[in-house]
Amino acid sequence: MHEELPESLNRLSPRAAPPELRQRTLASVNRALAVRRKPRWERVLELSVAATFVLGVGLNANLIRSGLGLIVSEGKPYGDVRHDPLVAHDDTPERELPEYLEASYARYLAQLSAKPAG
Amino acid sequence: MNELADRLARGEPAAFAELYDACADRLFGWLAVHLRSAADAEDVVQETFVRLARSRKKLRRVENLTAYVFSIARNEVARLRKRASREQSLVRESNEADADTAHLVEQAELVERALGRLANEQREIVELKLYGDLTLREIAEVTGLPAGTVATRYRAALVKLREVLTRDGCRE
Repeated sequence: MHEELPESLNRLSPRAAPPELRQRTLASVNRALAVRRKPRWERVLELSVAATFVLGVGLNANLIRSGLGLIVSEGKPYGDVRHDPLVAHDDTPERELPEYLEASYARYLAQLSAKPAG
Repeated sequence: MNELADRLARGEPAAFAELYDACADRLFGWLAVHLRSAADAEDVVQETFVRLARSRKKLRRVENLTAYVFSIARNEVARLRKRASREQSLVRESNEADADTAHLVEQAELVERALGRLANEQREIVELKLYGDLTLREIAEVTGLPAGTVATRYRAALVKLREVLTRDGCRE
């Protein structure tokens, strides 16, 4: 009894694929077959090279940026003298320097002359 | 079949033509009913064979090529439906059909209605059996179900179909 049903259903169903579909499908298959797939090792190698390149560019960019900063900071001899710690802690008045040197030289000469000769 | 599988795995175009001739009609017949669209069925047949060509190395390990081809087509249907649900245009809903299959669907309207009464998992098995002309073992392979489950569902589906068709006066 059951066996009759599939047959009666089968007669109502569309069956054959359109003839032009064969040509179209096989043409697509041929195109897919013609594409050479790269071996796995080749793809891994390509990815590694690309990753190394990107990493190299990134590191170089970073180095250049920090290097430029260094050059700029080194390149300014004092920059703003108010921010130079050596200048900031030097409390010697600039105008008094010649007198100070003069007194110092005078003391030095006095000591030299006070020493016995020979 | 194993010799054919080897030739397919080596990428021989003639082997693909042979495989196409062996199962394209059944595949198309099943897909046209399953998708209710000849145009979509054609697309899926074409895409199925392209996928087979691309992953041809796997074919060497395949025992039943027909079942394997239907499995790939089934995956393609799922992919098509997923895409269609996004685009909401590719696959027609159950009561629609394109112009190419309109007359066929009209002719099979009663059967269609009867099939529509089946649960989805029963319907798929009946379609694969009737339109794909697959054995129950092949259907088990395609659907990933145990062969016993497939046989039970198929028998239950036939009982239901018989009831519906007898009631609607479709049986000859």
